[in-house]
Amino acid sequence: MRRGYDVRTKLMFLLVANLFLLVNPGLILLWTLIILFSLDFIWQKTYWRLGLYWAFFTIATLAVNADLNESKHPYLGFFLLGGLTVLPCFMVGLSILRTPVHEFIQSLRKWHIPESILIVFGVAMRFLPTLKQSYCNILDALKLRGEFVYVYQYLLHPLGYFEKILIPLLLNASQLGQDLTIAALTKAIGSKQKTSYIDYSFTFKDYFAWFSLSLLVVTYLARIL
Amino acid sequence: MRVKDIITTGIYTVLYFILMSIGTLVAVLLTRNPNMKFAPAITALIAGTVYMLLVAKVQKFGALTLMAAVLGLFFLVSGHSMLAFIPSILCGVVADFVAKLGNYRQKIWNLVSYLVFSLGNLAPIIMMWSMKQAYIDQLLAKGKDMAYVHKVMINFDLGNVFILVGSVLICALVGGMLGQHLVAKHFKAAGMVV
Repeated sequence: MRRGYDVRTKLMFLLVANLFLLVNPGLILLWTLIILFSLDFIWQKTYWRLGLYWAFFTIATLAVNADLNESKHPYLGFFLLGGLTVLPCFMVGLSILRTPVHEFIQSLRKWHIPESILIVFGVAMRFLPTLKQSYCNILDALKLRGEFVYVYQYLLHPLGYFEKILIPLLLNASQLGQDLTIAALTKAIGSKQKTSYIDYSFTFKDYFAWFSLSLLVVTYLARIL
Repeated sequence: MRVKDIITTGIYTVLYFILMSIGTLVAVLLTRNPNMKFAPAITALIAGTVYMLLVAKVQKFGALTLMAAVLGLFFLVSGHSMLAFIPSILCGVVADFVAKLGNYRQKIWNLVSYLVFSLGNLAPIIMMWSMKQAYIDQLLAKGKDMAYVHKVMINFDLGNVFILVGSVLICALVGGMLGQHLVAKHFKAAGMVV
């Protein structure tokens, strides 16, 4: 398995990216953060995604530094700069969402996050694909009865469509909750002692990242003081 | 809260999240403006059924807080700022207390708690304000003066905040009543909730 940063390191990245979103530290520190996190993409060999991010960052940096006439394009500069500060957060966040659920939960358990939040998160991840399946089933059942066969019918009766889709979904969901509870209790979800076959621990990469991140924050603090 | 309640909360949280995405999509399509200003309002309008059903099914303190916490975690992990996380949880806790006033059974308190809960969805939009400050800093750093900044920054004022909060409150009221109606019509009749 190609491993990049640990999930906890990524969360730390997220915090620093959020801090930089709030305080606007300037382009140099922002770019240092982006380059540090780009290492993760390189280690996991997802180059095209990294390329997309870098293309946007480069264009936005050039555009923000260029002498734009802001009064002619009132939103352009705003969105470019906003994108430049917000997109690092999204870059880190989406990469966290792409980690396997098991790794995410097991890593967070080491930080003693409340078990109920972790269970809900796990259920949510498990439930999302099922939801799509049951939506398709409900739609098929409606079509069988001659309702909402064509797209224009959705637009003619949006409220009816809403009710006829949502209520079966909710009924389905409560049934599924029952099943999931039984399945999860069989797998000892309520027990206090949790073990894991794979041990997710810090590697050299993570220590390097934590060190660099603290250096970044200290640099920022030194500059404003 | 037992395991059953936690899992029920998890499932309804996913449904709420999906409706929130649909609400955002509809808001962007309707206003043809990517700033998602009315996304919380449209979410409040359509997600009432899920909320009322969750309240009716679990009827214990903690379900709404948990839902808000997980939604906030989704926001946080998907890259929105801490600013989105904290108000979202805060609204969830307050909504939980309000619903507890009526023991999770009285319609009026449930409705009020839904109003409070919906306000929590405004939190990601607060991010726009922090971005605005960064933009002003950037303009000033480039040597423009404050008058120029005011000329560039149009329609970011207090009136907008009232419009946002007001639209969310009205939509939540309508959505919550619709939700209570649908729950009474379908689920009470089937005997699935008391």
